[in-house]
Amino acid sequence: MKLKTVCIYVVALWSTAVWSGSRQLGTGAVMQVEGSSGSGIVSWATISGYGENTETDFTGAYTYLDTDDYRFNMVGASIGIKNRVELSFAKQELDLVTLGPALDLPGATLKQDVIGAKVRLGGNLVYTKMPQISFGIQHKKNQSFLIPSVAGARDDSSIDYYLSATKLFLGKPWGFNGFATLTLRSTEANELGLLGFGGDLGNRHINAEASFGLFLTKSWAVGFDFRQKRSNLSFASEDHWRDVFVAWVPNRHFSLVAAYADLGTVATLQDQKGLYLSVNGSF
Amino acid sequence: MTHNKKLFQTLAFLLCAMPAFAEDTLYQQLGGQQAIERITTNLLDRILVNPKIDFLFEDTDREDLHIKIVNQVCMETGGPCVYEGLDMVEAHSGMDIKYAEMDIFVQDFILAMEDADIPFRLQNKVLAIFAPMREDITHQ
Repeated sequence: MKLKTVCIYVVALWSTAVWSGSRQLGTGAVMQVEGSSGSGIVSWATISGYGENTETDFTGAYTYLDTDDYRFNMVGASIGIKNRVELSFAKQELDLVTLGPALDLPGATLKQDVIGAKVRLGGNLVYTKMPQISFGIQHKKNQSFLIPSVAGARDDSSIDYYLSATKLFLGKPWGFNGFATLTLRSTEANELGLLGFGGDLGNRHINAEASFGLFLTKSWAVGFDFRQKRSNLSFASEDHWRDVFVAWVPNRHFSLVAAYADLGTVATLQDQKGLYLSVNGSF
Repeated sequence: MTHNKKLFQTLAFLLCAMPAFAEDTLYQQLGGQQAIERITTNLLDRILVNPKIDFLFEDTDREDLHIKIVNQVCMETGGPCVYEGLDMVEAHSGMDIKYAEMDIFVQDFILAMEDADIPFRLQNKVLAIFAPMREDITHQ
């Protein structure tokens, strides 16, 4: 019975896949760590999937990051409606590989759910001189607040607000297609919210995020991300995050991202660096 | 001193002569008239039979459209042609072309350039010229 349901689902998925959105390859970007369309750690102004103003489509993603001391994974889904609105849902889980046993809590994980909404205010990524500009929110609910509360976090839920501008530059630089994003995020989150919200050092900050990159071919892109972070918890001071990435977008239904991320110090453990992998499907 | 003067003269000469070494036009880089004819043939082979957009060309004469596209691409890329057709708003008025339909056209245009062995970096420069025309072409 269950298998049958799965089969029907897969067939339904395939049949809709034939009618996927028609925007140009790569313009849906990929799902970032909080479920929004963007790159690895940065929310972009893009609307997920490939839908134009007459089309709506779905994106799903799985992301994995391993720094030895931490293992992060995210499962997310989003719907891009008429290239105007994006709704997303993401489940994040951080496995405290090193801290767990040290705190006498082997197997401890930090969990968070993120519900996101984004609206494109104006501009078009590819066709207008003005960048595509979007406003988004991410409602975050920590699902494992015991450890964050002991660490001094004030809240188990909060909302991030962000304003983002993204532009694709056809034929620039050097004939390649460059892309750039600048995002301002108002947030109370400690380590995305996995360590709760607010603390003894403060609450809300406005942080900058940026991504730059190049499409080297129609299907291969390289770039880097930067995400400013500030500390609310004196117990667990945070560092800015950065990564370099390679993305492979062979068609409108599938994409793969590999990145090397440098997260600095995370919850007292220094030099958290590791491989980031993300697979995206759209239909 | 003489040495310096000579160096200065050489530099001045090089600077003045620079325009002579200016980069080829995009038209020339693409491969001139022959390449643009080939891209256009490839493009029409695709769009006229693409079920997602073929209906837009029901009343179109292929020969006529071919000449117009060749002339427009030639002129816009810096070639020695004059596009004598209607402007983009007039040419598409009453057609109510959707963004999605223009996307399909652009995809076929990219494939047409690929089939004509136009390198990726030149394709992008051509697209950069035509991309801003979207608002004139669609929803007219």
